[in-house]
Amino acid sequence: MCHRATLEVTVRPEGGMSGPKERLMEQFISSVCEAAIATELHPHSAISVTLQVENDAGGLLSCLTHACCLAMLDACIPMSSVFSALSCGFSREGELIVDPQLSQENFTCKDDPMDVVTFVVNSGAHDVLASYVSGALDVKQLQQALSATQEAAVTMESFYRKALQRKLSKDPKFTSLGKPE
Amino acid sequence: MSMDFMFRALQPVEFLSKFLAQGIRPDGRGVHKSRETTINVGSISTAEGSAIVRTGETVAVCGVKAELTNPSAKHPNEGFVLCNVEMPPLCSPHVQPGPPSPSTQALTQTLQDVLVNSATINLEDLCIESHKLCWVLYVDVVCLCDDGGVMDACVLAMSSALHNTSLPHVDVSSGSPVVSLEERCALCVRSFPVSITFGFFQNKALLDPCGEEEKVCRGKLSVAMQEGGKVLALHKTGGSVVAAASLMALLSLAQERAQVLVELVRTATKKT
Repeated sequence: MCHRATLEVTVRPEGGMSGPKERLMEQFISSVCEAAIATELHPHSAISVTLQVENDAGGLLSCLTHACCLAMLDACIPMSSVFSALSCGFSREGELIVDPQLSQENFTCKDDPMDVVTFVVNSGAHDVLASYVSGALDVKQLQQALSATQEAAVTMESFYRKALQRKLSKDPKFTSLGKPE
Repeated sequence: MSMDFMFRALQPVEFLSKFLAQGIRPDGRGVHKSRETTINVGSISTAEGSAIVRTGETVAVCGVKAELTNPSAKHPNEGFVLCNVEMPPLCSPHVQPGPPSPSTQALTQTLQDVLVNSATINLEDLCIESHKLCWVLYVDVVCLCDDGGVMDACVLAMSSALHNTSLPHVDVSSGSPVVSLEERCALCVRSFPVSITFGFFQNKALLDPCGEEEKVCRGKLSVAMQEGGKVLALHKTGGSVVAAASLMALLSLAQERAQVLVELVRTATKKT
């Protein structure tokens, strides 16, 4: 147990007390981080990740995953790969809708609820690091969603690269955080 | 102390590897063979519905209790179903007494999700009188022994207990409700949710890992399915990585096992 770093993930909801729903989200993020972070490089240490939900307009798990990845990159935690997520909804007709809004997601929309699946894939091989299903989906739909996630991963990875380039660049429009007195 | 007992205790990873190199597991099962599952329903007479599920050494008990309450203002035609999973210290030496651990809370949420995702119970069926009276079902699952595959046992127990549930008849024709405990009608349960777990060890996926195997597995994949093969939950936990092709292969394996489990629940809860 002490030959690798311990990972602690905390998800704080927008309002109210955290409960079993947040524990499940923490388990989701933990499984992503444990696979991506090279924990063997920091034995006898703890890596603590805290995620605060500011607003949920749909695709919350994807957003949390991306925030987590960017925070890891900012903290320079050694990772074996970056990871990206995508929420895919399926309408009643079976149409794939990428990144549905909260009003379209299952159980918030009584008239035409969508079954939503969120996949997290790593960079490179685009293997699955985590998944979450809201609704009932057949295997074919999961396969479609996973392919969409793998395609979207390429876009997210270039976004991460841009974000890091901005952070590490010497360009004054990125480095100044406030006007000096 | 015999040599293999020491080897098993001190080097569990090598112990399991040696068996898997021969395509077999320490308890004699093949890599894609699950343990024997038994379901017993209706053993708790004080509950509206109950079930005890045993998979190998893992045991989970589910009891369904019903109470009358007022529906919420937001959904005046709906009742409530609340799941809760309890893992008391008696189930495993790793469980501490006190409030539920994060993994137990996550399991509670998972069970609630599976119930909602499978549309097993239509909440409108639980409404007795719109805006005034409805049932709230407390689905309590207690794990009595944790030897791996706890989610599987809990989902199966919940599924079987709900199929075993009957609610007392409530007469609201006169002003105040009259409950008759003898006159009961079965709860309308529309689905058979079941769960299948795989453990990832080195490059293999072990179906239905026992406690010893779970400890050395790098990660787990739990799939909740209903009859018809639709996936209700897909929880990949732990630090393992699953290739897309492997995931699809595991899902088809899970579908086969799900059919067996659904039949088991159907048979166990058949009303004679």
